[in-house]
Amino acid sequence: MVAKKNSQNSIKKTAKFMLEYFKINLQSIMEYRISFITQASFMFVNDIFWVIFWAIFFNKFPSINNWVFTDIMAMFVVITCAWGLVGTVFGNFKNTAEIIRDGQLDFYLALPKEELSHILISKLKFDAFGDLLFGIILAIIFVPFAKLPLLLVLVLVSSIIILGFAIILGSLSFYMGSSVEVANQGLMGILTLASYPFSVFSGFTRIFLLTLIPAGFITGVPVELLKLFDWKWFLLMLAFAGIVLGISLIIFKKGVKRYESGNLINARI
Amino acid sequence: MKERDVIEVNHLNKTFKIKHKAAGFLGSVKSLFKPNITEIKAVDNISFNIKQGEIVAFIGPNGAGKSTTIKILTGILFPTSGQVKIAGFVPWEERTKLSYKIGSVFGQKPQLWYHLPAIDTFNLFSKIYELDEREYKSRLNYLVKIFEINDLLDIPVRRLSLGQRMKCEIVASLLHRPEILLLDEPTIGLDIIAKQKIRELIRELNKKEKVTILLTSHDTQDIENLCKRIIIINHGRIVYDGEVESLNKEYLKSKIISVKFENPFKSFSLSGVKILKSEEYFASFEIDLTKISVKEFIDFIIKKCSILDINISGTPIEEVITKIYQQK
Repeated sequence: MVAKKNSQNSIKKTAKFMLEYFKINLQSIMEYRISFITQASFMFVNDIFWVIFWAIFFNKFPSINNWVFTDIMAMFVVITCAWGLVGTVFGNFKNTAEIIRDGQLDFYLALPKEELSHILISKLKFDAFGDLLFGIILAIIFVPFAKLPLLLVLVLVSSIIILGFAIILGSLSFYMGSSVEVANQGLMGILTLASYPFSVFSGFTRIFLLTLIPAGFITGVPVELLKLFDWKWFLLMLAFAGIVLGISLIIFKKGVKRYESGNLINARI
Repeated sequence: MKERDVIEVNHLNKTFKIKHKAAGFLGSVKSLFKPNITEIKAVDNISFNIKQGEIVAFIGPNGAGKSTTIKILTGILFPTSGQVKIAGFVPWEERTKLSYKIGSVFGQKPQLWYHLPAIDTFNLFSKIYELDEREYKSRLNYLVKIFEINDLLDIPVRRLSLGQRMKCEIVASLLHRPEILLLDEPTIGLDIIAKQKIRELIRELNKKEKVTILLTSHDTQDIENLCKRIIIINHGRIVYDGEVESLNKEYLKSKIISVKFENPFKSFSLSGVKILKSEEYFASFEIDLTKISVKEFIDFIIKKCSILDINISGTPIEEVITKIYQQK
């Protein structure tokens, strides 16, 4: 009973803490509202152009290796929602490498919160919110109502894979001194590869996209599962997400012990 | 009552691997294939204890290992070897528990949100430290009053002066009532009045709340005004650990006083005073404190000349360290 109450209290305190961060980030964003609204709008417009491109493409060709226009739209729903969700909740997911390299981790390590989750939630990316909103609108238009619960689960699992992958790349800064470029290229690469129909890849490339650069697990497998649900692939995707997240946590936690800080003068913006 | 040790450091070592690179493009290419990596001891077998309520100056030249030591004490860095206990906790193993007991201010690493008013960061910190709402409000009111920052609370931090910002930084680190405060260069870049105010506040805090303070500073005035005890570190090793007064008597026997005059400066001779440099409207003097006090010298010079500006500085820490080594 006491344990239950304590855990409820702890959840309440964590929620309050996250809400306060959300508020402070929103306030910070509002200081530069025009810049951020422009970013989010551009992201939205950029996403629309992709849809128009694929609409024109499928007007000329009926399918790509069994993937039709609605499958491509489902792929866009998964990637924009998953990427947007990670960016909205864990806005610093792309900046971990820089935070470690520049000694900004000092701030998080001096406070009584778990450092990795604290880093991740301490920033809100407004452009990611544009992605998320776009994905939701696209889901309402293109994904059948009955498949929305499955879509939600797949988006969550994809988000975990994106997050885990980003943490791994970012944490390499502990070992390499700086993994800023590696992280930028890796995340850009995975986003690009996840934005192509998985059916065009075969053989070695497919294995590559289901392991080292797991773009296949981020959009390819979810779209296939939405087309035709298969427990084997669903469980494989779940297990993969768990493994990526687990590895990312190990690499980060081991890395903290090697952290060297730095004397760069930082500002909290 | 005998005070307990709240900081215990025993045989602490921290080694960093440093990559050396020859200058230029070729050096970069060579370093890519055959990196020249050496180990440097940033902290070399240091031991010291600090009692509850003490204000201790922890000083040394740049690169001496001060910040590394403080970062190990806060749990930010892992040591290579050695034992540390702060308020009963091993920092790198019980970092979260320890952070409720300590507050830290790094002069060059602000914790306040740059574009937002300080009150927003204070509110966020109250959630990070899971403070009770009522207790937080009363603590904040108290700190706002003693630090006189009521008018600054809703001004974006970027619009505050350095001194005002530092006051708010210290308030942010005190909201959770820490037992120990680690101040790394808290007066860096501040003007003389702001420095004085920050010192007064630190002293008051120590007196009223018995907060133990470990302070690093390059400003000898900070040390003389605040601390009874001083630990000097150089090349990662402790070269002096003792009373500030003894250090003053042994090594800080002189002051440098620079004066700007309204009228052309005319040279004079006075026992214990050496003219280091003189120009038409400016002169700098070295005062031997065993022969003449700063007050006596200023009284003398005010009577003799019309002064526009005056600056008093102590013996640079590098010089003190050299003297310590020479005596050893």
